[in-house]
Amino acid sequence: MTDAIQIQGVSKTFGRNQVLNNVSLMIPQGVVFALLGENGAGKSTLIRGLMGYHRFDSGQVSVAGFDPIRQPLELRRNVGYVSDAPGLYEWMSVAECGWYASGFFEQGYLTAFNNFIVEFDLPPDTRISDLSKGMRAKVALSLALASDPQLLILDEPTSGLDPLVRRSFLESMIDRAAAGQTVFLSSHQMHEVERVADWIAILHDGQVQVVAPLEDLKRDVVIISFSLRDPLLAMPAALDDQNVLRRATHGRTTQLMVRGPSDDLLRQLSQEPNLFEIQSVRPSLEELYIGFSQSGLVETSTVLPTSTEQSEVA
Amino acid sequence: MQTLVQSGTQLKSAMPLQSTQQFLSATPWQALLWKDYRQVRPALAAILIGMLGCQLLLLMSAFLIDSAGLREANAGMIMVIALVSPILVVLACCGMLIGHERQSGTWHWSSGLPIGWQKSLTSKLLVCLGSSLLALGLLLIVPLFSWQLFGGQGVEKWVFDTYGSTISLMLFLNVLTYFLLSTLLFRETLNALLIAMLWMLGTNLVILNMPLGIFENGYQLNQKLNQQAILWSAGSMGVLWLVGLVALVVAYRWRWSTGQFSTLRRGRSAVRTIPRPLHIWDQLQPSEFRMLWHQSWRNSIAKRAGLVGLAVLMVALLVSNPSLLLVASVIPLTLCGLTTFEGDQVNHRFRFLADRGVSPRQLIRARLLAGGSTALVIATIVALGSMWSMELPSGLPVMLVPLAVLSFLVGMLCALCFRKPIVAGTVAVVACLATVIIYASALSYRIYVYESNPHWLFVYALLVLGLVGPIVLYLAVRRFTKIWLIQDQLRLESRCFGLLMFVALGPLFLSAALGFLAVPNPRWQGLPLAAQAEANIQGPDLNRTRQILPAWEPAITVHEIQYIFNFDSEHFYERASKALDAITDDDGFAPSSSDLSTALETLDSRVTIEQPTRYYDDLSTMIVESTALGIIACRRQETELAVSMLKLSRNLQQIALELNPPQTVNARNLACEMLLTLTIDQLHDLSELSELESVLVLDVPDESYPWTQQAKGQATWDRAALRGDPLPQSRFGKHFWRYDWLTRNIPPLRWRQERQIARTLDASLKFIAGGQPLPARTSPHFVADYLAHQSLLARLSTLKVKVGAATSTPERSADVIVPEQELLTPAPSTEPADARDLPPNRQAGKADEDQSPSDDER
Repeated sequence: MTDAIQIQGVSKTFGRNQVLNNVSLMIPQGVVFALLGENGAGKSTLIRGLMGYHRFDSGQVSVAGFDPIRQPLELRRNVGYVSDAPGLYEWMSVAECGWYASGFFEQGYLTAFNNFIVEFDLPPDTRISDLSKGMRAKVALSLALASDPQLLILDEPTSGLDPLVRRSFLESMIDRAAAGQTVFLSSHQMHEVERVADWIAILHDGQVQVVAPLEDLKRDVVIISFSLRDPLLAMPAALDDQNVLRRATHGRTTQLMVRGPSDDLLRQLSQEPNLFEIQSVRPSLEELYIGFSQSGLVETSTVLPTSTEQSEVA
Repeated sequence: MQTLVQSGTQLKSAMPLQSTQQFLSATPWQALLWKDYRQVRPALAAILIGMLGCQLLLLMSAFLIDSAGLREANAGMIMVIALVSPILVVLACCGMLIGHERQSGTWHWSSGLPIGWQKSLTSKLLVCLGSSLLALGLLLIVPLFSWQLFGGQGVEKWVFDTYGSTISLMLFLNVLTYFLLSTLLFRETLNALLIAMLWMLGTNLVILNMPLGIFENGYQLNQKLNQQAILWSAGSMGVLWLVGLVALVVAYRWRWSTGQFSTLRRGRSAVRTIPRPLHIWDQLQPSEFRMLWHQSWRNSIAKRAGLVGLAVLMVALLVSNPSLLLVASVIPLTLCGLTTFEGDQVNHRFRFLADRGVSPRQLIRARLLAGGSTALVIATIVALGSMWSMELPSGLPVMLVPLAVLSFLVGMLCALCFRKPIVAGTVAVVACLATVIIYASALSYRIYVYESNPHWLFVYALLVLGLVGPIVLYLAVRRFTKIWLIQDQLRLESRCFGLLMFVALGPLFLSAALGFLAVPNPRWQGLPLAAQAEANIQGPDLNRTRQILPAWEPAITVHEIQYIFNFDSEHFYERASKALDAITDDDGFAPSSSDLSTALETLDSRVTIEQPTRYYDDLSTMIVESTALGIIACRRQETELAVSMLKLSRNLQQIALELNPPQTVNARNLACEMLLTLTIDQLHDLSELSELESVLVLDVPDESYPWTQQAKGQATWDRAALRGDPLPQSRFGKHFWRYDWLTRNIPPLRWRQERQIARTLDASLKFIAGGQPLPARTSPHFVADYLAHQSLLARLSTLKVKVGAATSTPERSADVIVPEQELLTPAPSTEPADARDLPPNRQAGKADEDQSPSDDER
């Protein structure tokens, strides 16, 4: 099965600022794919490039089987796109927005749009300028969903939505994925994304740090914490061969985020005389995000970060 | 809350069929054209309303202005407004369809839909062109109406001359292309329009002046075009347009797709943490004003530099036409005012100031300092440029001061009240142009109506006109800034419109009110005729103001007054018939040439050999007789005889003038009317045309006095107009001055008609009774008008102007005493009466009665 989106080695520079550096992503069909990254990581640049709003300096892109540069109309006809700040016409009413957009899609678009605005409880005769930010987002979502696209690209789609609508929208993304449609979204709402995302990619400083199914990633990464009787002694040798993503020291307690730990790592650590209170927990998405974003960073603080799931080993 | 559990596909399949039929989708072209039209509609409406309002005001003022020349100028301005409106519409369309869309983000969203760039561009071009044509069509209605009323150059000729020429067409296409291109390349809408303006002015300056160095005859804006120069200019502009069109297509395609977020700058500039000028001030305690001033200065600095450049180019292009330069300078000055608050409205940036509790006064001071200094530079450039021209009236730079202040403040107010910069710019420019036109109309109306009867109020009203507007606007800016900072969502647009209308129309009403107060009519009452003629109505000296405004002439002549009252020459014919009867034989044959010669010799001998009769009636009869003979001679193409007869008539009139000026005027009027029976062709056929026309014109100190020629030409025109012949030249006001039911029932029209007639009478009486030499700038109309002032007296009786009892003076044989009762009585019966049997005062009254048409005829 071909991937919904194929990104191979794309780079983009704006002036002297390199926003994307050799980014490669393969997004399978029928999944909810979440692109995570800090502000300025390059998420919006990547998404705009996927839609053909600018050319990448290098690399190749295929979106729903179309080349964004050579086949922009076909791409936009088959892909639903919602930007982070949809620029709707202030003087149009909600209904007029749908009528205007319906001119460029097939029959049935307007009907579907009107159904969506009913579902979202949007007043059809109200001007866009009189709507709140969240309601505008709903209008933009309705416009994108009304064409029933096979691929949805959403840039911060839930920004401005209240928690209830945000949750219901994201859960509807699951239903779309189940129906075979692909959802590609970028977001900062870790807790909500964690509930719906099948795959995640973390973008940091223009480079992809990790691309993997969320569950696999959670299984593959553990947070190991332990306390030291004598902090001056060296770290256990068992940790030397591990892929430590992040290390945090808080007094006598050390917390390590390790990817792909060996099976007997915990047993080895438990045999170390200098260590006690050894615990292993599965990280949350937020912790994964922080870990991959700050990979290699050694943090020293007095406050111990909490974990959602822990297992005490010793 | 219900969760979304069904995808769109499932929903569609679940929908009953009749529900889907309720929603009719748009076609691509429907959607695009509708959207683009709705996008430009507010700006288009602002332009149409503003320009139409100006046209209607100019039309209204044309009804009130006395001077035919000014009415023609008004008609010309009405037409110019219509013809330049397409350019304004194109500017607004470019700003709204591309600039504003890019700034607001709708461009990005719209391009995310499956819309091809070709369709998008075509739709925008169609809407631009359609809106331009719509504006042109709607704004041509008033010129058509004014042309019907006032005559003048036909509308179709104007339109054809303007748009039919290749250069004009190329200019329009270039404006459309390059303004669209500029809004594609530059993100800030006003910056883009400004750059495009600079480009257009610069290239046109080069193209239109290039032939000067290439072709022998050269090309000059005010002279007849050289054919080669036209070809060169049109060809150059055509090439420029083609290049622009290709660039537009390429740029549009790029911006619609992969160039959405690209900028023309090579790299992002580093953010300065502390701007360099502040390094000096780092040593000082920072103050709110200093920070605001710095922010005001840095904000829109590129725009202000561009506006200064625009002013320089305007001066270069319009240096030979200082009046037009003055009006055009409104644009950079208004845009300069616009830059004061323009940057704050984008993305609600003003909230940064509002959230920090910035003092509105400090803010206004800082903004005025930054923007006002630039406006001062622009005004100085315009003033220097206008003074460069050799044809400058000296008062023009003085008028620039209130104009500059007004334009700047209008721009400032609009930037404050309108969130969208392009709408603010459109409203500001249109409002300023409208205000300038209205002020000019009000000014000219006041000056020209009351040149001879000025009132001190309206002299100082000139200063008031220039001060009221700016003061009101400044106070409004202060008030609105406070509201704007404190109350975020308060809509100020409607208040702005109200203020602009007040500033534009207020002086007009103020001027009209002051004019009403200054009506000199009551001065006529109770004065004898001679005293009226000698009445010296004081007034302020308007010489300086006259220097500012071009020379004027009264719009109305006695012939037009006669036309107003449907005056015909029947009574003249009656008396002429009697005279002819006296010299025809019993069988009714007209005298032969020999008989005419004999009659001429007889009359001549009576005048030159015998003592001239002391009885006015004798003279009157002889004048009539000689004129009648002259007409007969004219019809027989006996030129020499005709001239001799008419010379005799003139001599008799001169004698009669010494005896009794008013009556002689009456007699001269009879002679004039008889000559009016001749057609233009008949007069032109006569070789001694100048001699004939001199009968209508008084002796002047110097025959070569320039306006004597004008008087003769004017007399020729008047005859043609009265007879309905094709006019030798276009003339404003041909069929306008009617004292019909409309004029009688609309007080302002009636009032001004009466004033005009009273003024004409005043001038006529002064001239006759005073025996003054003709004033240096007296209109040639007065010369012809005075001849029939008796008619005016008769007409004045219907206008309730009374003439009282006279006192005789030794220099005059008799003052005309027209009893009030006789003047107020209707026209007498048609039965002739021997005037000689009547006493002198009754003879005068009888002469008037003979001339006045009966009620039936009226």
